[in-house]
Amino acid sequence: MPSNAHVIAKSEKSEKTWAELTDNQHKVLAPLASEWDTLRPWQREKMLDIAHDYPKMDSKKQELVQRRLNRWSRMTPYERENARKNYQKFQSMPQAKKDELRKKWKEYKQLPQNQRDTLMREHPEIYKDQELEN
Amino acid sequence: MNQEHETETAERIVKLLEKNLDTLDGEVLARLKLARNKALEAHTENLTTSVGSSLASYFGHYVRQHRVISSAALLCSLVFVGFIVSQQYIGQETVEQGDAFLLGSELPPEAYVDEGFNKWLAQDINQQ
Repeated sequence: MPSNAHVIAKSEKSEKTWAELTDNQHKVLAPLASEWDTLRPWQREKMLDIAHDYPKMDSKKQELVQRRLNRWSRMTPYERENARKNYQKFQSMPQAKKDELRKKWKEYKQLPQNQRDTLMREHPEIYKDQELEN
Repeated sequence: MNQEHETETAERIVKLLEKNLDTLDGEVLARLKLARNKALEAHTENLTTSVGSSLASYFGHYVRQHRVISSAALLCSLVFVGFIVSQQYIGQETVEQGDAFLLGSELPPEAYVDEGFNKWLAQDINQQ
């Protein structure tokens, strides 16, 4: 059970406006600058966690984070949770399997859009309006 | 009792020798010198053996004790190294669980949730 101090600290952290963020946080979260103040507290908190871990990564990964941040902020909580679970599975795979999946993803992205749409329609459950509201 | 008697005898001999030292002939002096040297040699041997056995005993004890200390030190080192390695492993796992690492991973986040991709992978596996 979290302490009151911890809850208050988390609350203060997630209520920070763009102007209240530090220079380093501005630098990492720059792709979200225009929409930061419209993000919900829990979204801001998650993004601040990303900014916290950012300096631990090498420059190549940092670049990927910046490039993917916008798309990530637009994903639903359901999608993000699924992504976290599948990322953990991916992390536990041997490198050869990871390389194979990376290659397959590139091939999949080369498929015509209508073919990918058809495949997606067979799994309509992932984009529910109710989840987009969260 | 015997020891007292021996001491008295020795004292009487010493007094007699001191009194008649100048009158002793060369043969007696030579025999006395020989006897003295033998006595000294015997005494030195005794001392060396005693010190030697003490040293061996001390060294054996040191080796035994040292072996115990070395084993304990080795065990402690292994436990310490194990602890450090496990902490690094756990630390790394914890760090890489954050969303930042997901965003920086080899696959983009959408790849982890794209059901069309999953379906396509399943079809691909079935075709092989």
